[in-house]
Amino acid sequence: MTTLQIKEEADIVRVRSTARSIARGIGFGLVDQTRISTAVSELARNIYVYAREGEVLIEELSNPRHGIRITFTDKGPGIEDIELAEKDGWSSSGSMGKGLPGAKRLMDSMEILSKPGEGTTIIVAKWLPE
Amino acid sequence: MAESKKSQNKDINNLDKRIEAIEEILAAAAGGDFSAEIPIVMEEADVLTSVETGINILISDLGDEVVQSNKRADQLQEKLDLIKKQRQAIEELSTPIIKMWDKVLVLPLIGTLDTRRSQKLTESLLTEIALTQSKVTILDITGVPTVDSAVANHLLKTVASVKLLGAECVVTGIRPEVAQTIVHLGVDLTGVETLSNLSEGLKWAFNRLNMRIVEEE
Repeated sequence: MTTLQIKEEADIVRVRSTARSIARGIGFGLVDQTRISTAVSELARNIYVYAREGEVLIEELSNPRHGIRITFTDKGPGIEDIELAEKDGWSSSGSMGKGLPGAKRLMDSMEILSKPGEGTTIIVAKWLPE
Repeated sequence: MAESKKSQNKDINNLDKRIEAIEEILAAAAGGDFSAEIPIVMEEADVLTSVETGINILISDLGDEVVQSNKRADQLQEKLDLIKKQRQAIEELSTPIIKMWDKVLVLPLIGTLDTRRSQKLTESLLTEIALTQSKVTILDITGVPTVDSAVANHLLKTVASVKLLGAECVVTGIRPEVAQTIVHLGVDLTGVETLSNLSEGLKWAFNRLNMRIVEEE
């Protein structure tokens, strides 16, 4: 279990390289490592862009299946309309709008918990192919 | 009670003068001077002598400690300066723009692209294109392990600005795992000319410039 803080842009790189090396340690192949690291990059950047700071928790899962779970928590503005935010090409910050939907496609599961004004928690997971 | 206190005081020689000396030493120490010592006459040792000795030891230790701590602070500052210098060196080293051929520039991207580096990179590339009147630019991303939407967005913007200068741009060196990830991410790079590797990029560049490489007969 690894916890990392996001406070500046350089932390995005630190978080995604840590996620990549943990994924490698779990046994994910190169393609999955790249997918995980890219998804982490997107979600970590969201924290940096929208909430300025937050926390990332990376866990190795072994029961019932091997995999990785990453939890992104911030106390930022929250997401007004989660359904809309998950749509391709929609962005409230002028970016490409690929972050959330892209991360969802790159991982096996994604859960978003958010309350406007209180913050956002996003949990993603990917399982090791059997 | 008053009697016994008075008699104790009587046992201390030159009380006022010595208290004054202690005050001076303490004031000097507070001002950062730890070199002075309270003069001690061992032959006439009394109750105050042990206090004076204690103060002397304390101040001398404190002086040593301050010197050590200053030294450590200096070393730390030196290391911070070194990191800063190295950071600058890396920034310069990692953004080389190579003139591969007449009117052909190559920009090999290595490592991570944050906002700052991306902007610097685009800026120096555009300046170089204008300066060398280059017509083709090859952006090689073999050394970029993670292409997220921010990096992709940067590539798209760079390609667009290069086009505005009347030059063409090709992106080479997209690794297989990165290619899969870009597609999953949903980033549309169809507006960007892409080729598998740098040598393909160079062939493409020669082609655009109506040049051909032929074997000598």
